[in-house]
Amino acid sequence: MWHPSARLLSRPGAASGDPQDQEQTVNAQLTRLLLAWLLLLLLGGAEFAVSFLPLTRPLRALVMIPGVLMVVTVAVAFMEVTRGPVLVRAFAVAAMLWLIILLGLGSADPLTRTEYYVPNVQVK
Amino acid sequence: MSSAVVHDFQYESPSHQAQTAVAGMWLFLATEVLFFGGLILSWIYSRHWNQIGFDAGARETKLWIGTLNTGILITSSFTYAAGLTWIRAGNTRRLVQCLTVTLLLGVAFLALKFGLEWRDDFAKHLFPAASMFKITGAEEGGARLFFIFYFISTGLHGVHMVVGVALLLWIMQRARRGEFSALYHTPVHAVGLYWSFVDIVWLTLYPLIYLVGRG
Amino acid sequence: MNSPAMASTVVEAGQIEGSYLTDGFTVRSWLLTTDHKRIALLYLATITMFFFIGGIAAALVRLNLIVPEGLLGSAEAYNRLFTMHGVVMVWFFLVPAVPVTLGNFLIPLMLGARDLAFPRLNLFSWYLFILGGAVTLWALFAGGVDTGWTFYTPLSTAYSKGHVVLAAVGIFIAGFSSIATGLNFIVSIHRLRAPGLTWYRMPVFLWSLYSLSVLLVLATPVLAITLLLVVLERLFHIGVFDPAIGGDPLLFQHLFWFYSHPAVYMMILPGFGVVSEIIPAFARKPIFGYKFIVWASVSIAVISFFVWGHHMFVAGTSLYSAVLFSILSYLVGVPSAIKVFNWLGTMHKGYIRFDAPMLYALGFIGLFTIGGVTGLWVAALAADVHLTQTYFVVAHFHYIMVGGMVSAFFGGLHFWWPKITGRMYPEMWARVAALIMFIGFNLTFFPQFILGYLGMPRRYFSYAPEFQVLNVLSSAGATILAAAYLLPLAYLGWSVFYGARAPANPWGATGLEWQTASPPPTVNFIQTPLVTQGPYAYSPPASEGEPHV
Repeated sequence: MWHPSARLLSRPGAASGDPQDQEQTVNAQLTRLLLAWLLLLLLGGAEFAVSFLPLTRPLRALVMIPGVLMVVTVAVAFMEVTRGPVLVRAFAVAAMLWLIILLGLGSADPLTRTEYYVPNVQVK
Repeated sequence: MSSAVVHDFQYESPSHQAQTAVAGMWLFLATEVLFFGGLILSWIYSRHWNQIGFDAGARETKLWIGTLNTGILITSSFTYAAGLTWIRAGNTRRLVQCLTVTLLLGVAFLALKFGLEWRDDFAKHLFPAASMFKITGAEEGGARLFFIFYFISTGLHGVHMVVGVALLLWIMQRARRGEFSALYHTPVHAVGLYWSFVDIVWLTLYPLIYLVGRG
Repeated sequence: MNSPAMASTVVEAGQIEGSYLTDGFTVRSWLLTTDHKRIALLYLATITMFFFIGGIAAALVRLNLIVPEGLLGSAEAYNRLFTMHGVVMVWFFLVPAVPVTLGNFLIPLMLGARDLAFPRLNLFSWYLFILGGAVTLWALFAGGVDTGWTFYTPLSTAYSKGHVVLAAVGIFIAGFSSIATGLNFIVSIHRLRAPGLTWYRMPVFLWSLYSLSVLLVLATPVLAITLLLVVLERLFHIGVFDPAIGGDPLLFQHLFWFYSHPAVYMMILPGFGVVSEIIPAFARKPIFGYKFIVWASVSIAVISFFVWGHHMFVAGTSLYSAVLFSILSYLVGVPSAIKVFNWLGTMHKGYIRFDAPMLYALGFIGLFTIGGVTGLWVAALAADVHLTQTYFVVAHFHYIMVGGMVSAFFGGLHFWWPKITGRMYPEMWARVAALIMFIGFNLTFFPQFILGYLGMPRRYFSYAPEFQVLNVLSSAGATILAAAYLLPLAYLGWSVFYGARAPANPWGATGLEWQTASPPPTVNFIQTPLVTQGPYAYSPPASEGEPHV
């Protein structure tokens, strides 16, 4: 039972009848995925390497930058966030936005709080 | 299930239903972002108030296992995406092959994480709730906080991995029965999103646990 | 699950025998149903049970406060009672009530759809709700929890002797029911709108439920992880909230209120939606400022995430963040006020009928406005330092939640009762109940504003003797309120069997849900409706008034 809009189900070319076309499309897709995988390994290596840089404690969090790029790569290449319907992107953007609200407004307090006592017997 | 393109009565067409299911999975993953977000905020607080002790804890982690596991998960996401590409072209055999590799990588991750790393952590007295803790003195509190974050976050991620492995087995079972085709493979797509998301969670945890504190 | 083949046969036949209520009479046909209308009724029964459990706890609290030394004579019992009241009412009545009953029933009808996007997930969410509710009730009846519904650390993690872990696990489970419901609603509204039903043609109820669902899916996961951290900390005696090792107890409050402040709007947003449907129908006028109302809902949903810090002004947060949160809290007053003015604008020069749903809606506007304005008082940093932790705050949020949300729930229940059951409720009794509810509510909670202003702290089982008169007044009001809540149980129950048969559209209301039979057939619509105009195309009754549009 074939439905005209069933084509939308699959990625471009996948439902096409011609086997040769199809093989080419699959190969192109796989190459793309392979490149993304190599990029991820590269970024992972970079993250690993920069973690050995002698950064001061507050700056250590910058080590995460390649990690953020890796997250974006997985979302784009493997989860196809940019290729799906608008709704999917809206959900993804909402998740990120609300994460920023939680972390941003949530850390506004400790970052500006005046400490009147030392909570722990600890050398500062 | 040869006529795999039937659809439930509230939908207009199979593609309408398929895209809705995928959107639903994305929204579920958005809720997961906030779930782990609360945990990340606890990392920010714990480290902010106790940087020295917290980082002292982070230095006790086994970098090689964390890094190897990162590579394993990246690769498993890649093999899953490859499997999805194959089933879009209607190739069930390749799908099952790709998913088998994905499954093995997932199990390898779990074995390294819980069979090796956690066991070693316990042996080295790094479990924060134990009365005897490896790090003592001024850094003890912060280091315990670090390992609270470590055990809870890797534990929750592990639970997600176990669910992912179960979903993989389910997909493979259905694929072997020939339920998926170029026209119908929504569950393959949805589980793939979940699998890659669990990968993303790990990509966030990896620097928070292994890299930032190692200065 | 209804097979598509069967459904289409029925549709093609052009007529439908019976309704969703007659589509199977076995227990199994109810417990395994995926029909959103039946699930709504399952939820309605569950919600009603929780409402009365929470209500009994409230009645005992008010009973205790009749005398200054506390009638129950036990601080522990009192603590457990108000915790039980709070936990049951917040998580098992106020947050879910309108969405899971009216929302479940009406969203597909208003969309012109046959069901929600994920019917099995919908049923699953009810089972999660039952499971979470059972675990929580087990905790509450096995000895209870004495932390208050807020579970503040370190009380909940270190010092409380109650069943914190069980209660938290129950709420954790019920939270996933909320997430599933919200997810289902959002996806359904995006994907299942009937042909021609553009966003600006959707009734305000759908916009409100959409905004509410955004809160459900984005805030509830944070509650889940927070409760998990509390449970682990209590079990292992160590955790991120433990100040002994450098953890921050205020982190708990940040995480908790990141959920629980939006939760307030989860309670009230569906109320906005209900009232926005009732008022145009009983004023015979299109809603005033439709776009303002819908965008007010959306902006309330978003802004509600920016204001949680106002629960923590005296908790020891930084002054900088307190000022920031105070300013942001004022912002949320703007869209709320827009809504109130728009409802008044809708009624202006309308042809108002005072049927029971309208009485509830009018009560809602008045009580919500009082609750909202006093909310601005406590959002002010300086005033809050004086008023926080007093009965002023208790009165303030009860005006929003009970005066506002519960009024709206009853209004909506009466308004759509003919659609849900196919029977009319007895109008006279309903009006009496609405009136008694309004009087009883104000008598219960208005004295609490004064008590709080005079400095009576909340959550104590005894109080200074000079507060007794106002406390007795409040408790007297509570008995009236209790009677007002029991009345609908009696006459609505009666109407299911003996009420007059309802026509498809007893109120002459617009909206797709009124275009199908009362009660609707399982497939909702024999033919998928085609929407050609916006909502609220009301005109004055033909007999009176000149035809001005």
